[in-house]
Amino acid sequence: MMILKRLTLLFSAVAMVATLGSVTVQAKYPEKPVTLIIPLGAGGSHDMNARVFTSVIPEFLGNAMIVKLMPGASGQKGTARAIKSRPDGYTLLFTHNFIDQLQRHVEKLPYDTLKELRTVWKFNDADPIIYTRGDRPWKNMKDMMAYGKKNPGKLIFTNSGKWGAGFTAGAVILAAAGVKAKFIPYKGGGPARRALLAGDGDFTVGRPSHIKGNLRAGKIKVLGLAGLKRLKAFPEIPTFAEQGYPSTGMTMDRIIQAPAKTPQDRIDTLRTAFTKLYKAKTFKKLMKKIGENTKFMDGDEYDKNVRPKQSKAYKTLVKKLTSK
Amino acid sequence: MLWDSFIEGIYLAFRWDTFGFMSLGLMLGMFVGALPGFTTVMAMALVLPLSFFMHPLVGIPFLIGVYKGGIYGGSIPAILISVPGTGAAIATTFDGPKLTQKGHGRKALEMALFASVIGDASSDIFTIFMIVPISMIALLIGPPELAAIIVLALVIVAAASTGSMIKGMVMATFGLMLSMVGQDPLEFMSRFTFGSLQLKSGIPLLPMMIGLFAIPEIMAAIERSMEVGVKAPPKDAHAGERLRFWEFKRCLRTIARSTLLGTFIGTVPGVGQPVAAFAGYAAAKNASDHPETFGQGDLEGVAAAEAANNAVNGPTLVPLLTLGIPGDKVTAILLGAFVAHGLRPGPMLIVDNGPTVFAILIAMVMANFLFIGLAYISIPLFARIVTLKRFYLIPIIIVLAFSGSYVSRSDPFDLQVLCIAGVFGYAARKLEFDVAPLVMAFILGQILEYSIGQTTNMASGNVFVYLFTERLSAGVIFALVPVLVGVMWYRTIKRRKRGEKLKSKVIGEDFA
Amino acid sequence: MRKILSRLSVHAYVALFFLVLAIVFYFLIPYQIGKPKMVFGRNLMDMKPTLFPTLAALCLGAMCVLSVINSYIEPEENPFKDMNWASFRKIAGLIGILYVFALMFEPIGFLISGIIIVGFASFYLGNRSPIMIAILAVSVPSTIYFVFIKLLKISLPEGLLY
Repeated sequence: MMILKRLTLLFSAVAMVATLGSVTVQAKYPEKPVTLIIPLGAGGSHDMNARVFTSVIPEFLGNAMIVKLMPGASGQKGTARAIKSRPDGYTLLFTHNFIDQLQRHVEKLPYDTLKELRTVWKFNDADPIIYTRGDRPWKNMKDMMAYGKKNPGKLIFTNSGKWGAGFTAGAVILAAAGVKAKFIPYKGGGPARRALLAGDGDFTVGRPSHIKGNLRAGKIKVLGLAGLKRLKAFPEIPTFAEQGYPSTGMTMDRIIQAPAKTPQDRIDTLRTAFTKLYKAKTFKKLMKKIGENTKFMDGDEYDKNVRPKQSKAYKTLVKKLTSK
Repeated sequence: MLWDSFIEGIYLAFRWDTFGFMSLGLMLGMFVGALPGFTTVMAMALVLPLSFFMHPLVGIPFLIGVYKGGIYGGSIPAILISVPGTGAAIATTFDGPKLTQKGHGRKALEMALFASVIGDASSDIFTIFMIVPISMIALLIGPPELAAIIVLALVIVAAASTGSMIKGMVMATFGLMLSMVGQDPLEFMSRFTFGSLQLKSGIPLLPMMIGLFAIPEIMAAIERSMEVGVKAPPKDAHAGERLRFWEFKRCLRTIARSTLLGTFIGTVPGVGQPVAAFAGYAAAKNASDHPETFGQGDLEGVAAAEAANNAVNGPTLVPLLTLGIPGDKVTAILLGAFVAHGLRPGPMLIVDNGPTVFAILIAMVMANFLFIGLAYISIPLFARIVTLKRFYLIPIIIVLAFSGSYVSRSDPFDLQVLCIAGVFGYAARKLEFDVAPLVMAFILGQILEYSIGQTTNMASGNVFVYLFTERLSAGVIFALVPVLVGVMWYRTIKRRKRGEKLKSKVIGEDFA
Repeated sequence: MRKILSRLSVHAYVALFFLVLAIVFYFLIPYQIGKPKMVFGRNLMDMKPTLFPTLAALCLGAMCVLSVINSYIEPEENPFKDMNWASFRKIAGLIGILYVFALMFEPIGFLISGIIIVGFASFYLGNRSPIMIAILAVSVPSTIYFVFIKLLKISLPEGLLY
């Protein structure tokens, strides 16, 4: 009993000294760790991307970045918290374009992301692919859409949730082709893929790195890739644009944002750190390992050239999809 | 060809760094799992970047070690201070804390360890040999089948609740109602949120569970101390007593049953460990000839829950390995790890990298045996913690419960949920309502609604016709439900009749 | 009528309480659940978001009615008969402390509110040694803070510390 008491005392003394010792007096920002809010759940692609870069960034930023997961209400909880936080550069939001630019057109939000958040850095993006079962008769997107047009309501689209990244890509193509399909929602890309492999679906949306195994086995066929350029790792996949379908607005841009009133010098410090990070070999190697690219963009450029345009495009898309 | 890969896998698996890091992962996982609220998913996400720099035969077993250690680790605070370290340990809080109060904390921890390891190892070995059939089952189980299985599970748990079945049903339906608060899972419409963003994400599960199970235990402890007087519990002669072999042997049948249940639930993607633990517990209670001791501190209850929740681990990996499909967040992280190491989960994985895959699976089995040794040594340390006086222990529990509830979503609202659930749990305890059906219905209700929604879309018309023509397996399971209800009802009546006979016998003797 | 009422136990009243909740829930459904947006001219899901809540409310209502009837057929003992009111007051007090902790957690920060609550709770539960209270109050939250934030990089609120 006494041993336990003594051990506790010793341990807590050490703990206190360590805690106090870490609060070193630094006049420079960041003098304490920066919190990175992720409005999504654990184990997702954002979480993994974040784990990778937060493990490497301390040497460029001068302090750590701590991941704070705040899932809930389709990302609205985390976003709301980030917006309400103190604009001192110590709270950042790691989110994506569907939460930032699409959600506002689908439901009424208690905040305005375009006005209250500014982008520090576009982290990377992820071009989704649409793939189908290996045993289906169609060889490309045109064939499948032709089937869909001839048999309205028969084509089954297994998607990962309404208005999510997986849903949007499929919906855009279906809208452009004028096809009426059956939508079956699933909890995430994995279950949607299972349904496809089991024969419960005709096509779904996914990530190239996740389906390599099934692709080689011939269980699935890739019909197309979103975006405007073919992938280096998969040069045989044609883009939707090449096949005459819309190819933009489906890619997920991962962006790091801060409350709009954050002082400019702090944002500049962050941007310098990120620029250095993206030149680091370890970082590039790690990102390649998890199958993600490092197509970054400076925050101001993203705010000026991408956000307003994409938001308007989503507005038109949602109107088109929900009006007929 | 497959056999050759298997043999080669055995050679590959036995390397010192694989075992070394696996042991590290197990201990880390156990420690982290013992921290309430800190889930195994978080632990794995944390060490994931580290594993990238290791050889795949070291990095992946390391992650798996963290996972397995975490599932057992969660039962440590569940048994000692009735705060579940992970969601999987919730059913362990039914009997564990009472055993600790009787001074049998160490016994309970050891029983949990053995049950966990046996359940885990058995399901791992089963997984290795049945990898192909399991992956076929994973493909076959779609939304209609899942819905049917969930209904079955709900019936089992409602029937096994302590106290009257009607009260259990009231709790279950109330839990169902509570699960509707928040965004609906299919169309994301807000339900019963009254404009609050907090409620929109639904009632958080872990704080609710900690509030419902742990806080009433604390209150009960205070009540007990008020009766005896505020002094330390007497130095029990049993404290620190090891598990006896005969006590263990008595529970073997339960462990076997729980392992089977857990393994089966593991093959169904999307159900998870908490459900397996509940189901194992309920099944053991139902099959036992002394169900009254369950919930009062019966080692068999701990064994039933722990064997089941660990048996889920093995089969869960199968859809990931053979189809490249992550069934839950843990496998999602493992998928990332596999991809990072250049392995491509999917049908070709066994063909391309057969020996590596088998090596990883074999290492997994070995992990269990490693774990017994490592954990057995650390148990006495943990068990000593509860010998602290009440006014030391309870504040510690409170802080742990609060930090654990906060950590998953960083929302102070969760702490309020913790308190409110605590009050509710205490009231339920006093009024002799069992809150387990509430939690089960809460968890399962959400899965059920989702599955039925999907099924309705798939049927595009008459659901009943669809169930019995295209998805016969689902139809069959649904048809089984009334049968099961009948069997359990009959059993309850038989037991009650037996109880009355005993009662009248006693009264007769009194008068004689 | 009186005879029936006298045979109703506390449990029946509890069942009635839940019955009222179920009824309120049922009537709130049309106000609290909106209509989903249509896609491609029709509903995305064939099942409406109001189906399950309606079923849940109806089932709960049915179970409550059965419970009231059951309570009349098999009257159960009043669990409040021999309750220790002194310990109840103590428990109520502790619940109050818990709720204060929940409210303090974020604005004041984990470390400081932890120290306050642990110290207070320990005293409330009978600890009378000021030195031990102080040691406990400071060491426990600090240890958790150290382990969670420094080692595991999990964030707990800083509150007044910064």
